[in-house]
Amino acid sequence: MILYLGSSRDRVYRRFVAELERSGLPFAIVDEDEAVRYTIDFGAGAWRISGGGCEGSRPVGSVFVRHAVARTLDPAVAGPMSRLQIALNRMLLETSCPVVNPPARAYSNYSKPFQLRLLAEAGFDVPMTLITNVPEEALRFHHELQGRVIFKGVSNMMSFAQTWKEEHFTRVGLLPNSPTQFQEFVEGVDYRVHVVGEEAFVTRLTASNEDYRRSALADQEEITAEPAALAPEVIERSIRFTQSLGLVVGGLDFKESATGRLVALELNPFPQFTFYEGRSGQPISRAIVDYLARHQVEETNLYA
Amino acid sequence: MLLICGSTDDRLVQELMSEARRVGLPTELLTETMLFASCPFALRRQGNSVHGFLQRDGQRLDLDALRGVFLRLPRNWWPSADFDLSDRFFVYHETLASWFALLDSLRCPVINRFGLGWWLQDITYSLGLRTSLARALCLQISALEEPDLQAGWPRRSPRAPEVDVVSVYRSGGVTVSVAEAQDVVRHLAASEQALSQWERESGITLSRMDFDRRSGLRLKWVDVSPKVDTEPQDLVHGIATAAIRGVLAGRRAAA
Repeated sequence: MILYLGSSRDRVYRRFVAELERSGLPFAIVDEDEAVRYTIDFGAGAWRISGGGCEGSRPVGSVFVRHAVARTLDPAVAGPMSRLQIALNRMLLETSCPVVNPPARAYSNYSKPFQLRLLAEAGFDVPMTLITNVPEEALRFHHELQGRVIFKGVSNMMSFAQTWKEEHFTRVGLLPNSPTQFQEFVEGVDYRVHVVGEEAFVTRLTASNEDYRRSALADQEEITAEPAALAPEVIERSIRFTQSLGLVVGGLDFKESATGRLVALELNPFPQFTFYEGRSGQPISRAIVDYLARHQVEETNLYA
Repeated sequence: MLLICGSTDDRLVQELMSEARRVGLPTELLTETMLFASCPFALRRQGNSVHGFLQRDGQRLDLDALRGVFLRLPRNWWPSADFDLSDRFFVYHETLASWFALLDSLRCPVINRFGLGWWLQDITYSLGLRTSLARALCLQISALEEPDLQAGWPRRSPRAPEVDVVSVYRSGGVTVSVAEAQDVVRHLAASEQALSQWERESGITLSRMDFDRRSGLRLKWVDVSPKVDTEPQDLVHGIATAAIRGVLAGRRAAA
């Protein structure tokens, strides 16, 4: 049986559950938005999840995880969710089942400049980058790159990349309040590479904004997403890089300039793949379900 | 220059500063609030090349000029109440993510080179370290008094007071212990190669390891930010001396 740990409010949920149903494989769901319904016990060498449709007795062969995000600071909601996720993460640390993806291995994009170091060491071309809280350093970087600079968040807190425009000069003085990531602006085509085990799906994206997510999520503009191809060595490197982080699934973002320079921007360990497959038609959910089905273990220490 | 990030209330910080002075190593002490809220810095990357600086009292300190960094952060910093709540969350994470990247980029010893799980106060980080250390030492994990994970992150704790538990410290690649821990010291010496490898891979070169010896030796816990307030002075001195020696020898604990 496949176990899905996630949130019924997550955009991935409906499509992924439909894919699990289509597969005909048995599966169980822990809906973390309904955290109080579940109990997790460990005893006699086995983990057991009960409640909310989980019986604590059916052997689990593989696990898919997309933890819920607390949408409120209300302790009555956030508290039980947090406690459930702590218990689940501890369970995932010790389960003998394959986990897609293990939360403990999925931290690298919390610090984007740290992940950039890993990408550079893996052989990817990465954009020139500055992290600073010093206004003069940001201005120098802007000057050196003749104004072709974007800025974006350093952590994985939701933020959009923006090109540095004239009106942003007045905001540079605020930098001591919060460090910011500045990067050379590589103008060109966006690619998202979804790695699933040894497979990869390349999607080319076209949007009016420098950050296509802004077009889709903030400006409510339609973006174009279509299947594409990248050089085999890029695909191979993407797969190995994902695996080197201890992940099965990864969403790598690339930008290709008009001169053919391909820069790696980041890897998302919990990509919202349904956003892409809903537009490009690429069977990413199916590939993940197939992976989970193929890699189920017979001898398990997890029951739901 | 040795950078110590912590508090002067911390006995180990006091001892590290004293030992650094004794061997002629200039030190700079930054409290957590100074580090996160008022220390100007820059970090630049171009391909695999990286450089940057910190600024203290208007003076720039090149990152390459650092001989070592000690992190003894209590991890209770929170951005100014001048920001609204959502901005405080944002600034908190942006600041932590920046300092993690900066410290990660350093070529000098950083004690400890904590993983992101530590920075994010993920309790599974400690559990994972305990599991990997037990494996390295070929020991089982003790079932004695599990930390209360539901209550949150196990905070820096004093040496375990239980009768059947004995603790030793690892610092700068050596084991520092009290006299009654000789059985543990011998076991660690016999596993020195695996232990050193664990320290390299985990980035943890300063720790307190607690062992349960009720029925054979078992690993109870590894505390990567051990509190030493109640320890004998010679033990604290030994930990600091070994740590400074490790820095001077350029022991790099990077994974």
